Amino acid sequence: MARPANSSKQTRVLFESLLRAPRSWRYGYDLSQETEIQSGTLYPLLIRLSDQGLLEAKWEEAERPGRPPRHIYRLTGKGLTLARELQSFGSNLILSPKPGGSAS
Amino acid sequence: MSSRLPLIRAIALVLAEHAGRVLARKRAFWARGMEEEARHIADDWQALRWAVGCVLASYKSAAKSLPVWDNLARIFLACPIFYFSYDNLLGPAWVVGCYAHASPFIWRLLNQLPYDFFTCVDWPSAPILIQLGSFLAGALFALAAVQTVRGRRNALAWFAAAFAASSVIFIIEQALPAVAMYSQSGALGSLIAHIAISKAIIPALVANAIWLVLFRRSNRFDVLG
Repeated sequence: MARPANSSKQTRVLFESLLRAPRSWRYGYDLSQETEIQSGTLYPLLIRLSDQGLLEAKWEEAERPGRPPRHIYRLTGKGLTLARELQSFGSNLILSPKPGGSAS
Repeated sequence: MSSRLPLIRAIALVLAEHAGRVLARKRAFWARGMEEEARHIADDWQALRWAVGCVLASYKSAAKSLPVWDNLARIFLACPIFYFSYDNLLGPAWVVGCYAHASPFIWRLLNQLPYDFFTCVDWPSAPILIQLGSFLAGALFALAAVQTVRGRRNALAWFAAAFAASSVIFIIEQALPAVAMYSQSGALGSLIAHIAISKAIIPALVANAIWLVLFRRSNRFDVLG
């Protein structure tokens, strides 16, 4: 039987992490630290979720001058709904990510 | 005066920039985000680790966006079909070669065998209909293989027609043990060879076709591209 879309372990862990502070913008590196997903896996995931309209991504201007801008991410309304559905249906499958900080 | 970065950080930033450049063709927004994120990581080794992951992700994306895997899959799929074509065309070619007194020379050239080893079959002893049918099947297989390489949907139909023609010819030739050519080559050997080839190739063809269909439909591999 085919696996439902966005139900991979990494996607679930990422959703779980983003659900901890659903309205907060998050940095890619922080998400990687929390979820222990390496950048080589995390970026494809983020891009796919963004393409599917489940994730918002934008630039955050640096607070200090001279610092480069940075990407920040959060779930869209559609993403939140899906993440909550996945959480309620398969909470026992989701690994517990380490708690971490957020961009805002 | 120039401020020098630690070596590890410098490598990390070079890698992140490289990853960004590789990805930039299709995903400029993400490429730049990936690149800049590495600059925000305080620990040099963590930055390096992050950058290596970015390089892997960008190359994965570049590989997916190129048609090379699709082309390779099609060529891989076409190879056994070409073999079927060769297998079917060999018989008629051999008979024509014998008729033209060319085959002994080719045989000796290819196999380094003495001329006496080879026994040519004269044209009348090889039924023309079998040879024509075999030639037709070989030509159809060749067409199916070409269409497979070109990625045309009708390749499967050509393959089915070729396989049907080849099977009919095979059944007829096995039913005619009196035919000198085939009794010499050994009907049992031919049968075993055909069964072995069919056993090996047909599941491979089906598996490849399924893989290609899944590859195109699920889009699972195209996570970045």
